[in-house]
Amino acid sequence: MNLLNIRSLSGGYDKIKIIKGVSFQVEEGEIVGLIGPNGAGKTTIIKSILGILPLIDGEIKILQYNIKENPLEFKKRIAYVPETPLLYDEMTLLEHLEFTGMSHGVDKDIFTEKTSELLKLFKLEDKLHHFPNSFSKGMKQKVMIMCAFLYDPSIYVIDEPFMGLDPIATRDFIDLIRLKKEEGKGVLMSTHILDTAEKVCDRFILINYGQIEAAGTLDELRKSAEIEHGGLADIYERLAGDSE
Amino acid sequence: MTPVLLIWKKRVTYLWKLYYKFISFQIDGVILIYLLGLVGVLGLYFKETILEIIRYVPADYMAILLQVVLMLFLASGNLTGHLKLADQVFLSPLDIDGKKFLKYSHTLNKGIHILIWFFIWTILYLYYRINFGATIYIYLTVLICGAILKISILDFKFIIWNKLGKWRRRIYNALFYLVAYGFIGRALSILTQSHISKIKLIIYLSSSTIILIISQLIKNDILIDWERLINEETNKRVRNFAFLLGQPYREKKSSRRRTISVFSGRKILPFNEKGALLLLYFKILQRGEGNLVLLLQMYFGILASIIFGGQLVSSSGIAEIQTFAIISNIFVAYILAGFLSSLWINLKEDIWFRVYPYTLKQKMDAIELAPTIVLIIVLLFINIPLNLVNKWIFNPAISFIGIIIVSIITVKIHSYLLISKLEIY
Repeated sequence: MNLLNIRSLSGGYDKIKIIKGVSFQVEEGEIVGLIGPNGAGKTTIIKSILGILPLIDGEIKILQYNIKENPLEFKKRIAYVPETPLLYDEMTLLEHLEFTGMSHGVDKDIFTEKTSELLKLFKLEDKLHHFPNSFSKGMKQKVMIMCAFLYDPSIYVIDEPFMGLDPIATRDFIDLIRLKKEEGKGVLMSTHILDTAEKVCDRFILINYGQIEAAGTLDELRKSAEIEHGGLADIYERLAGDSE
Repeated sequence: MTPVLLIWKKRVTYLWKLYYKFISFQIDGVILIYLLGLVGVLGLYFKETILEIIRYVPADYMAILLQVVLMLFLASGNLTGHLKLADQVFLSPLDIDGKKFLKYSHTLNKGIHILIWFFIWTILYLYYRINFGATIYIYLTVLICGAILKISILDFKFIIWNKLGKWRRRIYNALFYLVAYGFIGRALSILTQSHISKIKLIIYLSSSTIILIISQLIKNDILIDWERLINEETNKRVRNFAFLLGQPYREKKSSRRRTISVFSGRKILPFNEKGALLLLYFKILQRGEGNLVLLLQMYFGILASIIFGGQLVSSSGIAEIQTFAIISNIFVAYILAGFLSSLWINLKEDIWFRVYPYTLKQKMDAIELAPTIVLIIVLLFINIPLNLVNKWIFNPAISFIGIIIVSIITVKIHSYLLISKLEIY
């Protein structure tokens, strides 16, 4: 079943199209990697999915819910981990978690249970009353990940998730994503860390100049790039390099 | 010209332009002319009353009052570095280049403080000259010693500010003010004397010079807490501009590390979407741009002005105290509601406010409810002492109902304007 369905999406800033006619899907229990050079339009796609940028053309749906017609139901089914941690100066870690849980109508008991699990996993139990702005980049990113995994969305939109995370936190985060995949959730992940993406993602979408350059599994991408045994980095270099 | 001086000159020029914009934003030429005209007319109209009050207050009391003014001025003020967040890179190494930069800023600050001191003391001296026959030697002694003490006080404050540990700093600060006020208050008693002996003159001059030397020696040796200094200076400047220009601030960086569990968390707020928005609002009000300290300052200012204004109005017979109380309550409620509602403006560009699934009704309810709760509490705290002073001018129950109605209406007006600005959908 398609969890996220993007059809002929054109979006950008002030009527200037940065992405042009992009279409793809994220299925149930699938991790899709959104890759491409800087300025290719990955973040614009993510912002359009989140409803931060208005659509110029096309359609975005999560399950049967259209972003334009049913924004509330759409937003309820999405969790977002931004590239740059977006935290409030004025709130402690506990308050950030409470704010997210309350905003998504999480049951109080479930919230308590999930919070203690996540705090333990990311080793932040003793930072509950600290202000995350005093945290390191990696710790801030952990807060964002914890907030996204507090509730039960259909799809996770994750922008550069491994930036700033230490190897153990990266491993724990990958385990968490895989667990969600097993639960039938969808993950759309934009990343530049191709080695990790190759191990984690089921499918890839290579974006360049606001359009899909290639899409498919690693084998399918190899065929498109005419590389027999290369890794994702080689395919990326060939496909993105060719079009420049 | 050294590169550090060059950066400093550019920085001061830039900030000067910013302050000019800041000042010009608040001072409208037409309003200023009207204001001056109004003050002039009122001054002329109440000239006799003002003179009578001055004559009525005994010269001794007036002298003490002015001494207090001088004392407060000498102990007030802080050294500003004119630093920005990028200075951690620009002025690296901070202990060499940063210190050089601060030297220029502090010299400028001290110069401005001394000029203001010269101006204030010269004006106030005239009073002592007329009423107590204070000689020119007294003028010069106070002028020079005051300037030296002012510089020392600014230096000492900077030294204490850099002391590690919040509580240690607070204790040092309290002790410092105690000593400074005591010392200055005692020294200023010479103002009511007509002349000063040579021995006293030497004692005053030499002791102030010794204090200055000590302050300089300690200040030159102090370990500066650069991160906190840069963050606090940036935040303070940005907060001032943001609050009065009504713009969101992006440069702000918090230096706060943690809080105790009692102050952390949602407490009595409901665990749902509306509760989330209220939590966000109350935390911003408590710790952020809402600034609880600012709200408290506003509260005491308003309370004092209503009490004194009420007494003045009722004694002059212009209006009944009840009428005055109603008008001032509505006026205060309107201003406070504007301030409290404005905190939502920064959320216009907030990602989570836009991405999280709030219904339009939840957003609108929170936008109205949060400022209304705070406004009711503030108005209650204003009206309880006001009523106690005036022996319950209204029935307490009527007062309470009135406050709730006024709060709801004024917040509704501001929220209506705000919701259209926020483009909430």
